[in-house]
Amino acid sequence: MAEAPLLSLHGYGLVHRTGGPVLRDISFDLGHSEILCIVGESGSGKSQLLMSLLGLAMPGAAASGSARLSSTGLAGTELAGTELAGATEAVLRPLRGRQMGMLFQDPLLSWNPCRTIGSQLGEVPSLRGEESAQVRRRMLQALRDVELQEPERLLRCYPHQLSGGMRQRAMLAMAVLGQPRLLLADEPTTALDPTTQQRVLQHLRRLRAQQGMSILLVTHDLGVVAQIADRVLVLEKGCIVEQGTVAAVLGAPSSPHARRLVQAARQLEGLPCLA
Amino acid sequence: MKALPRASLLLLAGLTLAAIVVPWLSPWDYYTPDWDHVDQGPGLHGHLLGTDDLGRDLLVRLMWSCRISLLVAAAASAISLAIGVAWGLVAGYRGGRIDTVMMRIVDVLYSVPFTPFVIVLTVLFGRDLVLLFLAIGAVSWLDIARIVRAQTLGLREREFVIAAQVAGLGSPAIMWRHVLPNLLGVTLVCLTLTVPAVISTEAFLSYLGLGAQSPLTSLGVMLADGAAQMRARPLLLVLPAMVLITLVYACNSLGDALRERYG
Repeated sequence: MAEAPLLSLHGYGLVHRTGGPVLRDISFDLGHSEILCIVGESGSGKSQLLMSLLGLAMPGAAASGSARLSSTGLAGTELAGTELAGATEAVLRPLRGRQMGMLFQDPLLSWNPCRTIGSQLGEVPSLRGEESAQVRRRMLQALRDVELQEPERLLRCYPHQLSGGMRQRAMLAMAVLGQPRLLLADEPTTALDPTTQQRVLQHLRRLRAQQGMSILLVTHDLGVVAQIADRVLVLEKGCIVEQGTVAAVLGAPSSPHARRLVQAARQLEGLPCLA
Repeated sequence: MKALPRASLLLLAGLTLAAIVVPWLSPWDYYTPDWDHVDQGPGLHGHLLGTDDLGRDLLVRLMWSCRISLLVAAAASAISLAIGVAWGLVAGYRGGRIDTVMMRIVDVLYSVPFTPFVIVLTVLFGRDLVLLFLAIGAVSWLDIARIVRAQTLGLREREFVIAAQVAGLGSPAIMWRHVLPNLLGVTLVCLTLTVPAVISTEAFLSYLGLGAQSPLTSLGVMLADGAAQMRARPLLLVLPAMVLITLVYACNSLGDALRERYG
């Protein structure tokens, strides 16, 4: 058997404080350096899935089933992995940022408006006791990696002084700074114009290629899915209704819900309807 | 900045400067009577605004009153700001049961009537200016705590706070580094409401004899003295009243301008 998947969900569920299920019986594997897209309508539980993996779903929500994050030791030895479902803050905190990074939809809202980019980028490494000179070097490198010009000047800028695309790429730099093995991206391209979308997707692809990062990407843009995903997972009302390769799901969706999604996307693009 | 708030700021700065400088420069102090010139009108025998019924220089006493008022305002505001912001921040950010307990405590304290509370304090601990700071500060933080909590509840849901959680930051670090800086505007607005209220409260308590004690003076003490002789010497009442009104008005108008900008 090949190495164990990085993230493995088995019968994972999330129940709202009031008892209503948000996610039901979610099972999938995410391999090393794989890009898995989750598509679905608004309210289908896509974002809640990401947040609950980090233990940051809405207060009072309870996770059930199993969500196992493998932890490969330095020498390649297979460790038992960490169970994320129902894990405590103490278990999850060290994983956040280091093992699992996150990219949000709106790059303006995800920056604190009254502090500079530099102070926010360097916050987590500094708090972990890294030397300030080293933090600075790594920040500049991370900004250059996402092709941002004049990184020195950028560190002194406030979020509102940057364009949307720059903010999102800087956010990507922040997520990557912790060198996570798994990147959770919640509609990272929705708020961006098409050209900037392309650049962000390029960076994501490069991260996968260079660092072997696995990406779990939530989106409702099937164009993004077609470009970047290895596999797709369709979510409806908290349940998986279809999963498979991009070609299979987008080319010949089997479930009525996935069909509707693909149909709508094709109409928007002005393409002929599916047979 | 518009003309009116700018004028208020200048007025406030001028009054503060005068309160600090005038008692220094003047040959008179606020407690030594000039027995040869009791009940003197303005401008005579070197007393610019005249003297009171004990022959004490009115200008120096007035400026000393300003000092006390501003000192009480600054100290009491600082106390209430420190307690109020910390309390509201923790309650709002932690939420849940902690929030409920903390805010019910505020509700209970809110229902304690202020004047009897201060009277009880003075009976227990004696009349002291420091007590005045504490008493006013202990009451006025309640408003600030409520406003800060409400603001924090909103900030807690903002994406950059969630992003900080995702990045692995702990709650104290998030409160200190991400929520607190964003409370600056609302805190400033609170302060502009608190300062004039504190100045009036101090004058009110001193008028009742619960604040500054003779020979030390404050605007309330001078008002009480002036009211006793307002038929014979209206100036003794009018002067401190005018200073008090000017102080409070300038603070309020400055506050309005700040509220428009940051509130």
